[in-house]
Amino acid sequence: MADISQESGTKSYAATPDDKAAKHAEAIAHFKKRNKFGLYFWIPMVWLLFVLFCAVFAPLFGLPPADEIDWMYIKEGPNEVHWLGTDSLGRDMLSRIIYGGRVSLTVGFAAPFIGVGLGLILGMIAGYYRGWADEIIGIAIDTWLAIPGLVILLLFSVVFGGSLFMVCFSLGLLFIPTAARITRAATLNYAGREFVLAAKALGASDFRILTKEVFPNIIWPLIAFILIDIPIAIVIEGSLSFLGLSVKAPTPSWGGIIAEGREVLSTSPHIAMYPTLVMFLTVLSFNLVGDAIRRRLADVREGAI
Amino acid sequence: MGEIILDVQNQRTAFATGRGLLQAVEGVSFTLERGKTLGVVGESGSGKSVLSRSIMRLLPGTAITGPGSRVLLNGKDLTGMTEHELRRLRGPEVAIVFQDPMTSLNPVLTIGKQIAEVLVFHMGMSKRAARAKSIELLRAVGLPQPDVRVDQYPHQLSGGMRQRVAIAIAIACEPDLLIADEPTTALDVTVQAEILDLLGRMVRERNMAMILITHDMGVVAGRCDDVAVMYAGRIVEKAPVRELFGNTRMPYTAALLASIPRVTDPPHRKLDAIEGRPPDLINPPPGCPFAPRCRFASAECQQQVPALEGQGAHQYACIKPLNTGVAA
Amino acid sequence: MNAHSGEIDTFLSIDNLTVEYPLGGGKRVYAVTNFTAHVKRGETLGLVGESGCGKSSAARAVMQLPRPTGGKVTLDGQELTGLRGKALQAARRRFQMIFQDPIASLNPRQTIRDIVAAPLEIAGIGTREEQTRRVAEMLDLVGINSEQALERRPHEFSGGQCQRISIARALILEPDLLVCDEAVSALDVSVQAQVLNLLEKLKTELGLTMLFISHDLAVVKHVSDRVAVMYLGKLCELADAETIYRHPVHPYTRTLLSAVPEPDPDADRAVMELIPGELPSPVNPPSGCRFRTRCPYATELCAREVPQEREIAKGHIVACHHPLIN
Repeated sequence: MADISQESGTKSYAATPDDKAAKHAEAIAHFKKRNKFGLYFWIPMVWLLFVLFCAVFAPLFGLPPADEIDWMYIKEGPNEVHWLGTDSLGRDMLSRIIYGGRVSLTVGFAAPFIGVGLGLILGMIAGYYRGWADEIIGIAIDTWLAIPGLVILLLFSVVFGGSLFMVCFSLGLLFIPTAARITRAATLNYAGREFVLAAKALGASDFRILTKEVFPNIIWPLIAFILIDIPIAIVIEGSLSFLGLSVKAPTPSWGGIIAEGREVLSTSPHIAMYPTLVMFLTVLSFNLVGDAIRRRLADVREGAI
Repeated sequence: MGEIILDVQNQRTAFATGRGLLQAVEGVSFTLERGKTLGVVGESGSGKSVLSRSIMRLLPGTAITGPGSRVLLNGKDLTGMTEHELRRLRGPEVAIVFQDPMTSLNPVLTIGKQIAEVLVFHMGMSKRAARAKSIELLRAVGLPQPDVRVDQYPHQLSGGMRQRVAIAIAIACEPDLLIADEPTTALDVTVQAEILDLLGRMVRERNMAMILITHDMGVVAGRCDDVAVMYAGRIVEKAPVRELFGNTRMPYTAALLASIPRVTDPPHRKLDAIEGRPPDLINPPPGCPFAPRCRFASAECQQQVPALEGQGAHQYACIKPLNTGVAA
Repeated sequence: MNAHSGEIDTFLSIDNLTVEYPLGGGKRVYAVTNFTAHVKRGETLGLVGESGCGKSSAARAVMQLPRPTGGKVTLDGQELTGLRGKALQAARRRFQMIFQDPIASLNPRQTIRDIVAAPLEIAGIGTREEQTRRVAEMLDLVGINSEQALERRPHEFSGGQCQRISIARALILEPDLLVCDEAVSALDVSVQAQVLNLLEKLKTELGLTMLFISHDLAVVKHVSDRVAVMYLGKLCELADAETIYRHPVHPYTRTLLSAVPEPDPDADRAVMELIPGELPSPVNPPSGCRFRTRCPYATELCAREVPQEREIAKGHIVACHHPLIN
């Protein structure tokens, strides 16, 4: 992208004047090149779809249950019975990674949505009504941010236990402040626009203005925000599992498997290595795909206004 | 014939868009002499601002310059110059004043620093000399209390004052050519008159050439030597100012003049609006771009694009010009 | 003392309208101070002045967006400033507004059908089909081809077309009063002429009363029956359009008129000189006459006393200690 903008100030088109169709095609191609989904988008996308597919349809693959112990193979490397080997209790690694993926992906998607959902409500109220509502929400958010995230997560884990829902919920809480701030800024921007004033002049209720006029306009920055948060949530969930603060054993999760593998790292490195690799690729893919989509969203937004 | 400062030859500027090639400026040629002011008038989308940026070589990345387009400034061809060479020219030879001084001035630097920066870079002045010169320039553009204002930030000034500062920066290196791109559009009428007077005075005192770009026929009427009217990326009529207003030949110019409400009209007079809208520059209609909206157009007008021609200084791009009975 | 002598057939009356915004630290912006004007049914009152003169604040105060700090706005006998909540929302269908930025006035995420139908939806009028039919009628009335427009979004239209769509939305509930806040200022002259002609046509056909706010004196003269000139939140002069443009008596009106750039190379370009300096801040307006700091005729009296509005001829009101009456 950068090289084109550097040169084209002096670049000229060589086509003959009457070669109009070719010129148009060239111009469209030139324009599209800037925001095409390239290999950096499609390769990670294929990986993500594959991981997602495995997680959703895990029970249909005829894999051994993730907590079934095979006494014949303990801490074995990859072989024809267990394609990715077994862990120190003789459980099938492939099965554990796939079922672990269900936990990681669920948290990865659910936590940002919960956080953004709650942040959206707070941010819209603060940005639209301003005044004391804005101040109270602002103070609450600042207070919330002053408490270290890990403390919050620890507290939830201790008080409410490690159910999947509680993990998603407590992680989601961490995303509220930023989501609320983004929403507030976007709402402020649109609440002053003339079409909102026009709706007020028509006697529209605040609820109608917020849902029909403001919300459809601020959804895009929030989607971009969710795209950034998914890989972050997966990494945090992994770290929590590693510390034993996520879902309780024997439910597998990537972080949990890595933690178990850490103890036998010198003798059976594959136990920690495979889930680490899968998690690494998944997080990287989410980031690459998210970047590409956000660039595209920016173009869509520019084109629409 | 005076010394020619600017010679634009067949300037063509297009933009690559998702729908195809948008021809923003199409075959514009003109020359400008020292001490003269050329007014460029047009509605939005006429290509007047793209033209000014094409001359300054300040185009965005999606812009494509046509082959054979040449811009000669003091005889030097800007077309093939590198960004580095251009930077040496912007300031000492050509400068631009934009519409919105709030966005063209840097909000975090004092206005004194912004003027001094230009003087230090182009004229090699010391910081102390540059500051003294900055105050002198601010006084020249009529900023009250220049020795106090020099240390203020743009947001501490009114819109008119900011535009004066922008003009001070533009003339700091004594350019030969000043491009004023809608310099008063964001300002109130009383301030507009002051800024236009100031620009005119600067051109006279410093013997520059100026291109005054505006959408307002009223602005060019009193302040230019020549006026070029643009429509759909082309100059469609160009003449000395009195000639253009008094003996309009191109129907578009005439229609534009007729559609302006005037303070001298009685209230509720029905305006002669031009029906329709300017053509799509990606797929322009065949022939004269104004033909679809022109009440004098015939089938002939849609055959080919009329060239800009005419006797002497008055040129127009029309095969069925108005006022043919009146010899110019 | 009221110079606005009792018109019996007043339809919109604005009395002592005052708009102030708190700035924090005990400071206030005095946007509009004691502005009074009366408009007859079917009449257009033009409101001119430079930026910061309070014309837009006055327009919004008339619209109750937000409610003014002081004063009364009465429309056809109903005091708008006294209405609250649901009663105000219900009354809103009688007065509508068109804004300056044609594109920003329309929600970019909605279709033209939904935008123009919103007033009907809010008022709970008609079924979806009936609403769509009404929207199509309105679009055709303002010169937009409804067949092609209904399902499109605002960015597919030009500025002039967007402004027509805004007009359709404002008029769909058949209001009595239309407030135009710089409604044609963002448009090109050729398109501006189309929209002005359209507004004039609709005004006659629908019997609208209009409040037309603009910084452009030529445009205001074009549509207005009477014109009010404002400076720094105060009324300077109010008279019928011909009179105020031909025989302005307030020094500020005269300056404004002399600064209009006329599209005529031989027009007189000498602007009546103001005392150089900044426009005073509406946070800290000058004592007495607000224009005195820039007025070449100002005397010590102007600093001491606020000039009262007085009627120097039938319907010609001026607030100046030294009006320019030859």
